[in-house]
Amino acid sequence: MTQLIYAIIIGISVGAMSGYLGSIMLTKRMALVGGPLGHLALPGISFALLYNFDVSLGALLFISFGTTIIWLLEKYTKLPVDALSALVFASTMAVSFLFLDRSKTVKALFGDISKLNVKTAVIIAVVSVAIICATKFLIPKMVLISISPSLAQTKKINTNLYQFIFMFCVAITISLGVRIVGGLMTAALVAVPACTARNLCRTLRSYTITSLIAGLLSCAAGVVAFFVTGLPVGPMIIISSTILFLVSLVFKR
Amino acid sequence: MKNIIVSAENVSVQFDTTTVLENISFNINENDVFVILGPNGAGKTTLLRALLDLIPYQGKISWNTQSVGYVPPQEECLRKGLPPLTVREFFGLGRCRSMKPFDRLRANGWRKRLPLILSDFFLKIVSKEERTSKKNKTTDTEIATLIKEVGLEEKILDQQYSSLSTGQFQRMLFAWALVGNPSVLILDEPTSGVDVAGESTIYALLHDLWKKRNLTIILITHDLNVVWGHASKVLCLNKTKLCEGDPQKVLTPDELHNLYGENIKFYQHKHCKGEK
Repeated sequence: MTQLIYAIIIGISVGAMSGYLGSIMLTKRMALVGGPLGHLALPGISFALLYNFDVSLGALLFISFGTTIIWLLEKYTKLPVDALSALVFASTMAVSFLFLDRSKTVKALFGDISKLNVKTAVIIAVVSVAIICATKFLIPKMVLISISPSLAQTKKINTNLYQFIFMFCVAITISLGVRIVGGLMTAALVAVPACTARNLCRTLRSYTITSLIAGLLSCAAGVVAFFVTGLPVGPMIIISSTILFLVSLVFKR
Repeated sequence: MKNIIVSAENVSVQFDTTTVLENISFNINENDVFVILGPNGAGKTTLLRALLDLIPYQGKISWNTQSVGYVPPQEECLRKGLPPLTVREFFGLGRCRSMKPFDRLRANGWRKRLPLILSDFFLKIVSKEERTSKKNKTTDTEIATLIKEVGLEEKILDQQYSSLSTGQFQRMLFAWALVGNPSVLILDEPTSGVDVAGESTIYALLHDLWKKRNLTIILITHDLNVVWGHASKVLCLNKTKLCEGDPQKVLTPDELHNLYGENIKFYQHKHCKGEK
């Protein structure tokens, strides 16, 4: 029972956080930032499972490492960021799978919320609330930066600083997300609730809040489904999220 | 003698090792329509960005005004592929909120004393709410007035940002730049992407705004008819300053050939001359 409560707390926090932050990742310029980070988490998890440390920590380490490499390569080669991230993702992934114990593969790919304790639940909840507050502050700036960096600059918005804070928030969100949905589907964790909200909303405010709620609901439903059926939690969350999306299609405005 | 609004002294800009602008000096007076003219790659946009303090530069630029409105080139603005956003919300994005949370904390004197008495605490919240709602209200009416001033209907505020036509979008950018009642407007090719009919109405609008609001306008355009018709001062630029002054005097065929190359023909239409 306590396991269920912990799992639901984690599910709700991570779901709300990724739904909310995901809402601003659905813009053209930001998708380029968000996508690669999600992909970079997977080698991080395999690494963490291999050496027995926390998967979120592993993911965060790899995301930071990978982002730096991509940034350096981009400066040096001027190749597009998505091509470079595919390269970094695939190569680190290939190397990490050479060393990964096959029995742990499922965990790495599809998420795991067994053996939780109160400390993990509290830390995740607190971090999520912090990221949600940061996101609320970031949304108007990031939208303006997406529209026109120079317009943002004339409003005294430090575009580099905000982009860095945004990247940092995305990295944290993805790192916490990989714990419950696994490395394969983190992109969906942040993208699907935003798509659902986009179908339903016409204003930025309602859209971001709906995205938060959609993320929260799908993660909570996924966690419950996991406890009822015993199937891996990641796919359950993504399926719930997709069902919400399908429902939103009916009410599309 | 009119006041000098901005003066640039020996402004140079370098990107990596390439010099993009070299030793540009000029003064812009109050109520001037100052046009920056030059071929592609001449450094026109770079000069504007230096004026706006968006890029590092050498030399000295001094402003003698409180606020400056900026209209970026339309191609630079992302119009599709954004989250749902109404035009009203777009205006809200720029409400100078970058420092607000910190300002608010400071304004409330949180470091000096904590709101120990509950009623005091609520009083604070209420007064803060009142302040913000009042502030937002005035901004809302200001935005509605601006939208009408640039020739759009007020109902456009509730439309989707991405649904605006090119002409509407350009006018909305004008309104955005006029928020806060600036005395200077800086525009970077405001009619790129607008058709010929739209172009003349945009310039007519700009002319009206200039007259009504007593603006100083700094403008990049390729349209020489606009220069002859509206500009009070022109700066010819190709990495260095080639000419500066009254367009009727300095824009001689020789000077234009010098600026754009020998093989170009220019026609100064007679009917444009008297419009200024």
